[in-house]
Amino acid sequence: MTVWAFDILALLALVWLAWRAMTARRIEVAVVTFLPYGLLMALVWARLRAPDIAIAEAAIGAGLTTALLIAAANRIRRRSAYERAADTAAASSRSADARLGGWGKQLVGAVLACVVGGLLAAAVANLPAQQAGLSPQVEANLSDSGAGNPVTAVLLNFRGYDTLLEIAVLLLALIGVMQLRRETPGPVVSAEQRHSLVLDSLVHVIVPLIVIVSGYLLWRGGDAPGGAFQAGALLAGAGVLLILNKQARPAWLSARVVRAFVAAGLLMFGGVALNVMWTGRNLLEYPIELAKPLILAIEAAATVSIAVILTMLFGGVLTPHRAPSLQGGAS
Amino acid sequence: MLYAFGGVALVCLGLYGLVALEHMLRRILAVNVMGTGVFLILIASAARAEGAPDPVPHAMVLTGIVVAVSATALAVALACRVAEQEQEGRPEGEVKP
Amino acid sequence: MIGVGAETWLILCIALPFTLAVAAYVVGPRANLYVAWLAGLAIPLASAGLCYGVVTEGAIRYAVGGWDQPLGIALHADVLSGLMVLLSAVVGLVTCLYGHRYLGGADDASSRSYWPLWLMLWGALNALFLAGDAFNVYVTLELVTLASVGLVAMTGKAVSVRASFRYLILALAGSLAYLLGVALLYAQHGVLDLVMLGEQLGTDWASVAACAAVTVGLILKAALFPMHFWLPAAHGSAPAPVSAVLSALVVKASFYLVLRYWLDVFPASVTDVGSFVLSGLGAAAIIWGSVQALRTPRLKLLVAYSTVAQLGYLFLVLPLLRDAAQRDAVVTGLICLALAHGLAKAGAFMAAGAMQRVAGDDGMHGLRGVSVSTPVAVFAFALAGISLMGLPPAGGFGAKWVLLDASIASDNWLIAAIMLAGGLLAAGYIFRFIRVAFHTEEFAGSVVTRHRTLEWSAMALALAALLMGFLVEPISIWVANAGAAGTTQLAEVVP
Repeated sequence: MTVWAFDILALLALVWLAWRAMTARRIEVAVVTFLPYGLLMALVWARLRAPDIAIAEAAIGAGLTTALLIAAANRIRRRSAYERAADTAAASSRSADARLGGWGKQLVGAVLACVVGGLLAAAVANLPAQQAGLSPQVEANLSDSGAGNPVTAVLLNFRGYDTLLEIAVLLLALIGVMQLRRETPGPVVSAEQRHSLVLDSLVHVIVPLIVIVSGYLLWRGGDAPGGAFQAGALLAGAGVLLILNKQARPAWLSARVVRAFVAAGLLMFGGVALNVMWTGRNLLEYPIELAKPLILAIEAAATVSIAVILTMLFGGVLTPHRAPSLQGGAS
Repeated sequence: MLYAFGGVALVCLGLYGLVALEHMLRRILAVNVMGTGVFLILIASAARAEGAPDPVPHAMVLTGIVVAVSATALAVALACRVAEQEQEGRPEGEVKP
Repeated sequence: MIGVGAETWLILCIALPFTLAVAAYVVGPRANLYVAWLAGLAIPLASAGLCYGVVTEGAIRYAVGGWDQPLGIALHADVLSGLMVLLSAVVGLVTCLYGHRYLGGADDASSRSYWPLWLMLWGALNALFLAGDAFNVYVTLELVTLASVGLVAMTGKAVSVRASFRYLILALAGSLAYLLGVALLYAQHGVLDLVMLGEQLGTDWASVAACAAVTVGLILKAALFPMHFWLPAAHGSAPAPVSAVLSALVVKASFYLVLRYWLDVFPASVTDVGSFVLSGLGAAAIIWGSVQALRTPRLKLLVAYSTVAQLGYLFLVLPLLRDAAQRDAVVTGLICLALAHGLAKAGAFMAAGAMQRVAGDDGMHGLRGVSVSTPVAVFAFALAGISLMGLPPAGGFGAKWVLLDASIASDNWLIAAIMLAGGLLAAGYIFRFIRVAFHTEEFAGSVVTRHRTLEWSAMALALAALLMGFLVEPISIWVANAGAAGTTQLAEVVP
């Protein structure tokens, strides 16, 4: 009974938060609402017995996505505040977040949503009550996969090809974001280093902790919930903190080294995928006895790449210019 | 199965937002809401079976979350650039198709 | 795996572009020249090898990771996908040449990301054409989207950044609709392999809903009227080599998937109403796109609107697939039309780019008399136009002939009439530009600087489109052979 109550409350809260996140009057409120939305979503994943997704959602869906959106809202608003000094009327009319489109758009949207909702609900209601899916096959081949956690086995062995392409998606997004940054510093930049005491001490405590936890997630990911994506996302959280704290980039971290880190996951994964073919195997067909170490090596490289890419995606959105801090370098 | 209907509701909310909202960040939010709705349908229908849930949809959703954050980052970067260019009022060969 | 078999070519078609893209990204602009040459030589070679293998040995199924379906992911190459890979190879080869010349002189910053993005796009397209798994298709679709959006936004101009944002949001919505369909399919059947799904799908409500979601998502990305509104701005504002690839290959990829799904996965679930709705939208796209092309003030927008119209044909004839007797003919016609349009449209965009270079702008007014300065490009544009209009001996003619024949044989006179009307409208917008190009007034742009590589690249593609007409016959034979052997696909799974 209490479980039912939780389910219904959680769903109502989810829908309400989603509505708020889209239509809250001020855009800052709207984007911040995405954080509780993502966290509640993570709870729902845990409730649906999907701990791997819960960790990823909390770190990526709630954490990083919200951070990206807040950074963007700030950047857009800051620009308009700068403009407002020159031309109040024009800037405010533009920055007044026109909440909704015209009545026509709202009507079309509502009708479309209702029609699609009705059809979809009918389709979902018509789904067969039982469908084991592919779990019997996964179960049967798990011992040959080199991973004890079935989700890791699917991600890195059975359907490793998807994951390989997915790391390419990350790289593509990074190239796309980096090329949009400007060459010349805009008026947003101020050279002053605003070190906040709170943030400083937070960084000093939390960053090492995050590194340890993500190392643990990576190591345990073979057999328990966790793995490269969760570990990489957590590490990226540390990277975001370092950026926010305006930590200087260490000297050894040149642009070339950063690019190598970015490409490491794809190179390692792709290299393994192709090199097993020399012995007459198919693409990505690990020798059974080597599956475990190969998967661990791929995951380690992927973790580094995912962490660096996610951090740089945030850095690229945060600053429209080339600054000598952590996010600089690639592209 | 309750959660699958919740997923349907989120998909519809996202769809409405996508059509009705104009602010760029809100449209990005709408796409994200729609995405979580689709993921919820996937996982909820995988959780129907008794015993351990099917790991394949879980892997699919993990992939989907990473794809979503990549696309969101690119969209956000584009949105910032559009907003800045609008505020700077540089038409740069403005053309109405 | 003995020697270099078709399976090796299959893997190379996907692995080579991605490898080169990562190399271009890591090494940076210094590697551009080598990367361009290597990609332009090696990838078309692999594509030709794959295509030859598919035509001589029949369809290939490849189990990635050595896991049999449904657990693992299958790669699938048949005549349809092989020819699409070949199309990307031909267009890609010329794009490498053209792109190197077009962007070589440009400011370093704007072209720095061109090679990684474009090679990733090439690899993603090949991966998409060769995918045999519903979720794998989703990942490749997203790769294609992000690479295309990055390429459109490459110049950083306000128009193109705004166009790419709209394109990205629309494409993401389309991908999510597609993923929703996949979720419904998986929830119902528990498999993701396309062949296996095709065997299990029925006429029940969930299957039809899944079919609708997948189709809607894909036509959103294929820019079928009335979902075309993002296309002209995005394709018109991108740099010329990018526009060429987007119009010739990227929208084709979504259409390819619609065709793949309707042929192999959904035959049982597609309803007559659904196919006639798509057909009607296709007809509207032909008329609307052509009329806009007749009115637009810019050459690249004209070519982009022509893409909207030409995509309409591909959807217009979908109802004919329901007639089993005409199936092979319609598939042949659709493949040929997709190939001919891809070649002709890439040629037209490249010609437009070459003219834009000398005129400084692609406004129709400024291009008056441009034939003085770039005669080869104007001629290439006219040749590409012959294929777009569907005049003999061009590929567009052969393809439309086959389709007209099929539509008359199955008593769909309206479809035949619309195809003919579309040809006339195409003649209208092509001649509209030809008249401008041969305007007797003195050309305002530069007459001295010529870009021979750019002009002759466009010419090569236009000629290829023209000669495509002679490929219609062999393609119809390959399709017929594959159709006869198509029922035994599952038995050929590579362990």
